[in-house]
Amino acid sequence: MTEMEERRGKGFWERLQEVDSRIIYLLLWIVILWPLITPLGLPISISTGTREYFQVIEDLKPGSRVILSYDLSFAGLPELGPMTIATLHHLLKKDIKVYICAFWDSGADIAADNIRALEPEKNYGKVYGKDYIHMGYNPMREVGMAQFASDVYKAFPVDYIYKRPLETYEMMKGVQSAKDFDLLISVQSGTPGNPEWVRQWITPYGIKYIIGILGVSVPEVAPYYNAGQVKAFLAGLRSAAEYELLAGRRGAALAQQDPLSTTHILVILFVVIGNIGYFFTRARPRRS
Amino acid sequence: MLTDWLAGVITTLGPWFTAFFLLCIFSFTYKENPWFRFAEATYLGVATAYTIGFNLDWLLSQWKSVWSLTSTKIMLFSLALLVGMLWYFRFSKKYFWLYRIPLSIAVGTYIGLSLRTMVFAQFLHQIRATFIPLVAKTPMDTLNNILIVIMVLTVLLYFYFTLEHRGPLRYTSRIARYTMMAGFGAAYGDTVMTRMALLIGQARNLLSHPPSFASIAIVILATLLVSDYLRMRREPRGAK
Amino acid sequence: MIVMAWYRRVEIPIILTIIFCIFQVVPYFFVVPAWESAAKDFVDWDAVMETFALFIGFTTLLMLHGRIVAQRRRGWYWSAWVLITMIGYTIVGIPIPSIGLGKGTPLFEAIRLYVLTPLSGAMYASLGFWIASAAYRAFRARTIEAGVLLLSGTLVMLANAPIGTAIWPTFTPIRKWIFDVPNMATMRAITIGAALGAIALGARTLMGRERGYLRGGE
Repeated sequence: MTEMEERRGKGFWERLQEVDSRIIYLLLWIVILWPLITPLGLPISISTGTREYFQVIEDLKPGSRVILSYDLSFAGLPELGPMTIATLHHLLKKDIKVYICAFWDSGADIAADNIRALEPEKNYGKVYGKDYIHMGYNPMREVGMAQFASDVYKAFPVDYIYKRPLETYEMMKGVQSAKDFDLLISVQSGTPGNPEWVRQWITPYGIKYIIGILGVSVPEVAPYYNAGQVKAFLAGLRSAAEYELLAGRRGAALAQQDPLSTTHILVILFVVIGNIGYFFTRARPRRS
Repeated sequence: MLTDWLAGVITTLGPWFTAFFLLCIFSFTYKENPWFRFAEATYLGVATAYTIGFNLDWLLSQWKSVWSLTSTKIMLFSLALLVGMLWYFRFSKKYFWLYRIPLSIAVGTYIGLSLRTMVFAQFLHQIRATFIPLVAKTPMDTLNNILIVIMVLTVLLYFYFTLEHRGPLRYTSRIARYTMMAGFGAAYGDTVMTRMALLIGQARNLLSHPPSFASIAIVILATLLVSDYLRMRREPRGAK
Repeated sequence: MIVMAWYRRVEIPIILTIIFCIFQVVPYFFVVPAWESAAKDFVDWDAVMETFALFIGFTTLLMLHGRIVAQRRRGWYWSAWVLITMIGYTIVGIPIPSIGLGKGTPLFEAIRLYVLTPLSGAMYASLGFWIASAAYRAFRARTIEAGVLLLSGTLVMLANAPIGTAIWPTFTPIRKWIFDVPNMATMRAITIGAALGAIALGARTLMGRERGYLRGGE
């Protein structure tokens, strides 16, 4: 039997089940590019989880010391990038001290890029070393986190931007270990990430802790959130867009919400069509 | 300086580089092809080298600001260097035993640091958080609390492989399976969000500079279609 | 019978593992200031010692792809390109700022921004295509369990997409319930199980029963 005859012998649903993957990919390209070129502007409601995250930062007292750890990769940037820059913006707006660090190499560079993009001196009237600092990168994963908890200067001897000893900066006065911080925020792509921070910082020192995570990591965070170890979290691109609205900085996350809708609808349609096809072909005896 | 000139060229052509590498990787959706292989090989090389650059920088900053300050620290740093060099006996069959020395120090330290708190963070705290009041403020909370306790216990029992899932355990394992499937379904839904978000982000990157996107997309697609056409002409349909 | 020299015996690294583990555990549970301080200092030393392993990945790739090139195996030119890019960018990363080399220099940053970042992003973004394809071909309600998975997944997707919550806002509380109850219960049981497993593995390693990590060599 030739290929054409074989195809003719099959029913509509059977043929639909065997559609070329490239058609699926092409459809996906279309539903991504179309709303990016002509935005639909769908409304976004704000979930309680995002409000909790926002409120933890909002409730910080003046002069509080906050760590923002960039534990993310370049690959995770489209989903985590918008929430990191919105968090940094929110922190810089407040009268608090921001200590930036990274336990992923790429994170240190992303943090430096964010600082460059926000221009804290010009836009927020903040001074490097007095109000905010980039402490750099520690390659030692969980061991590095333990080191950071016990002695900040051993984990990050010099700052990332000017390579000067950390203790020479004004905002480092009175800072020695994890006990001296009021809040830990980690935006994370994977390991080292949440369990490592909980083990080395939250369990021994009881510091308040919130995180930003990829959608794919949301289920793993559930037990830590329920047990109170994680106070609040931003879950993926949707939460990032909600947070951008709350923090008052419209950015990339909001711009990507329309394609997020269309791609999700397409995936749901794929699931539905795939299942209808499956039930029809299962009900029909296969031709020999 | 040559390095600055090169940096200038790469920065000027930045959007073209970005579009080129993105489209090379995405060309895999058409089929496996040399554009993809080129980008894949570049990624492997560059990603490995990037980590080295970062770690060298960290090591240098440690040396300058901590380990070169006193003679004792210099000695300790030298010792770390000596022991650290033993890592490379991993590549020797004869002297592999030397590689086990830094490895055992690293593993021992890691186990010590992580296990001491893991017992609390991921075991005791989690068990304690499951002991919740079965009668809560609202009927919905009461129902949820009861469900949480039942679900955690049944899933725990499900992974207790010492007992065969027969008798009453048959029912608990069924509840556990439904619980896990609902949980994994949520995981699937969230995974879709991440995967789509990453793709949308890169699509936005491409659209940020339409000339590079359009020209490179046309070139890559044309070469793939032409190569397919030539291959089909060489091997007519039905030929073995 | 070959008698192994005492210093090559596997018991030595096992003893070292036990010593360094206990060295970190004890000061956490007992207040011995001198020990605590020594344990912290040791972590700093260990961090430096471990960083010296930074060329292991490099060496492995060098050996693997070097062999492919040397033997002119199929597709050897891709391996040669891996070596060229890896060695080239490693040289760019050597910290000699006076000649424009090292992390943070314009060339290192330019390659990071316009080569590494898009490549890294695209590699992971491609998974979006496979997940869409999998949704079409593999996500089937073949059993009740699979039906539950499908339903829960679809509800979460509808809640994650702004269009879903715009049509019916109740998708958000439904998603929260799935997250807080069945998902949390599943992940908690798995977390407890994994912690138990890790503790058991740690105990086995300390007792010298778990030797997988020491395997290799003659």
